[in-house]
Amino acid sequence: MINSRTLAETAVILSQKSDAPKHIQAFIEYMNKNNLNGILPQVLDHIKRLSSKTSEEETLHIYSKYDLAKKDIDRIRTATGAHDAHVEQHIDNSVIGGFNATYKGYMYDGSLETQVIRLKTMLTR
Amino acid sequence: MNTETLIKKIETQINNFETNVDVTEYGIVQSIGDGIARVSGLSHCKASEMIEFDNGTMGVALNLEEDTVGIIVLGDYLSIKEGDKAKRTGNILAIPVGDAIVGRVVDPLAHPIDGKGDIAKDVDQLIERVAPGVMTREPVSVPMQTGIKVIDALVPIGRGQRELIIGDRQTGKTALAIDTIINQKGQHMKCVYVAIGQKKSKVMRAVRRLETAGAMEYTTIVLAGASDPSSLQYIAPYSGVAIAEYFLDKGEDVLVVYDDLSKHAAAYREISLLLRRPPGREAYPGDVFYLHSRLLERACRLNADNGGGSITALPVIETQGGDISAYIPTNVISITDGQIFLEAGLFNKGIRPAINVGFSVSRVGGSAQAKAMKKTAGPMKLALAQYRELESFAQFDSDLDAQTKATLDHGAKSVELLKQKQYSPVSMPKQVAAIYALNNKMLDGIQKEKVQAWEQEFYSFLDASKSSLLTDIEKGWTEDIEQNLTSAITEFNDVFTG
Repeated sequence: MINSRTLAETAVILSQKSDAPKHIQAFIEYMNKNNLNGILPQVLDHIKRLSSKTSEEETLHIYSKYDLAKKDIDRIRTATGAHDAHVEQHIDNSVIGGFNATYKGYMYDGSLETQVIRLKTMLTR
Repeated sequence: MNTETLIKKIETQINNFETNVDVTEYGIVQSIGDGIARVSGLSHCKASEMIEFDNGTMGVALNLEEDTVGIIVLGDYLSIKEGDKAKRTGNILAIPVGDAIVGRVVDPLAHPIDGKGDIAKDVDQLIERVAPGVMTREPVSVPMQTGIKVIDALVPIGRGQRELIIGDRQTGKTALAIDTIINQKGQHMKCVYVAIGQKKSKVMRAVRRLETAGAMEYTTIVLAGASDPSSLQYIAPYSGVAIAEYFLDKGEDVLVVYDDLSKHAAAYREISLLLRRPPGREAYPGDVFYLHSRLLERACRLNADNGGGSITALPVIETQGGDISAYIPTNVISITDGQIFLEAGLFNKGIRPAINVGFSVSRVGGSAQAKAMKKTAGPMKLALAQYRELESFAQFDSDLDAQTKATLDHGAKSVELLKQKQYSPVSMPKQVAAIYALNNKMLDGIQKEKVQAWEQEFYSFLDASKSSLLTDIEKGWTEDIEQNLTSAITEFNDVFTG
C-alpha cells in the first residue's frame, strides 16, 4: 500500500514541474478517489520535513573560531561552489584556526588542525 | 646525512606543502538501534565502505538503498543519536597488520586487547579480498600434522585444505583445534585462532594453555566475544583470514581456526534481519552460503610463482543433537574438503578424541599424507570398518567364532590405541610405529586395558634408544625401515611383557 512518505515525495516532485497547479490538482483528485484524505496530515508533515531538509542542505554553514570577514566568506563560497547559497556562520571553539563548512551533503575541512596532521603525515612518511 | 642537510630537506618539504580543503561526503543518521544505523544523504557511498560517526565510532555500509544506507556500527552505538553526521572515509574496511601481531590477542579490528601495548603495523590488509584464482593455486600435497593419531592416520589434513570440525556442544571441538595449534611448534606454521561469540573466560583459558605450551610464539588470537556486538562477530573471521593473508603474501604457511561458524551465521542472521533483508530458511538470509563460501575459498595453497604459501582452514560448527543435516552444517560440509565428526556418545563412552571415523572424511588430505603413514594407516581403516560392522555382535561373546572374536579384539585395541589425552600431540613417526605394531598383530599378547600403557612406554623406548629409526620414518618408508621397526617392537614387547 502507498504510504504517506511516498505521497509527500510525489507531491514535492509534482510541485517542481512547469504546470504544477494542474499536477497538484490531479494529485488531490487521486487522494479523494482513493480515500486517502485521512493521511493528509502525515503527508503534510513529510512535506515539511523534506522542505526543511532541502533548505538545510542549500545553506552554507561555516564553523570557525571567530566571525569571518566577507572576503573570507566569498573565498569559502568559491571553494565550496555555494555562490548563491544562504550563509550561516557558527562560532566553534574547537576549531583552532581555519574553518569547517558544510554544504549540500559535503563537509569542507579547511581547519588548521587537519593541515597540521597532513603536514605531519607528509614529513613522517 | 648531517643535521644541516636534514633541516634543509625538511624545510623544502614544508615549503612544498600545499594547504588544501578536505572534502568529504556526509549523511545524517535517520535511525539507530541494535547496532544498525540508517543514514540518508550518502549518495556516493560504496558497498563495504567504512563510515565514521560523530563520536569517532566506525561503521561499515552493508545496505545501499534508494534513500538510505544501512550501516553496521563497529563499536559503541549507544552514543550515536538521530541527526548525527556520518562521514564517508572512501576506504573499504581494512585492518592494520604486521609481524608484531603474532603472539597477540586482538579484537576484529586488530586493536590489541591483551594489555601489551600497541601493535606496529606494516600494511592495511583488506578484510574482504577475492580468493586466489585457479592459476595461482597448487594441489594440496604437504601434510599438516595435527599430532592427533586418529586424524593424522584416518582423516589426514594437508596444508591449504579446509577441514570442518563438527559436533555437538562439549564434544571436544575446541580442544582438537587447540591441540592442532600446539602441534605446529617447529613446523614453520603461523596460526590464527578466531573466537566468535564465545565466552571470554573460555578463550582466556585457551590463551593460557597456548602460552604454557609455547604456542603463542606463532599464534594470533582474534576475539569477538559473546558480549561483543554482532557486527564485530560478523567481521571476526574475515579479520582472521586477512591476518593469515598477510603471512601468505610473504610465502608462509598459516593455519586458521574459526571457532565457530554457527555463531558467525547467527550473528549475520541478526544483522540481516535488522537490516530488513528477507529471511529464508531458519530465518537466515539468502546469502548465508556465500557468507561462508567466500571466507573458506580464501584457504589455498599457492604455487611457487606466487610465493608457495598456504592457508589451512579449520572451521568449527556446533550441531544440535548430532543433527548434521541442519542448514548451516550442510552448507559448510559442502564447502569444505572434508569433516571431522565428533560424537557425544563416543565422548561419554570415554573415547577421546570422540571422532566418529565412519562419518569423518578428508577429501584431499590423503595425497598429502606422509608415505610411511599412508602405508600403515590403510589396514587400520579396514580393521576399524570391520570392527564397526561386528561391534553389535560383541554382546554375544560366547557364541562367536574365533575369527570374529579376533576381529573384535583387534578392533577394540585399535580404538584403544587411537585414544589420546588432551594437549599431548604425538609426532608422526611415533604414530606410524604404534599403528604398525597394531596392524602386524604385535599387540595380540597385550590386554586391551594395557594398550595405552604399552603405547606410552613404547614411545619412551623409541625416544631413548631408537631415535634414528624415528628420523628414518619421517623421511620415508622402505623395507629396511620396516624390518628395523619390527625388531624394535619385538625388543620392546619382550621387555614390556616379560
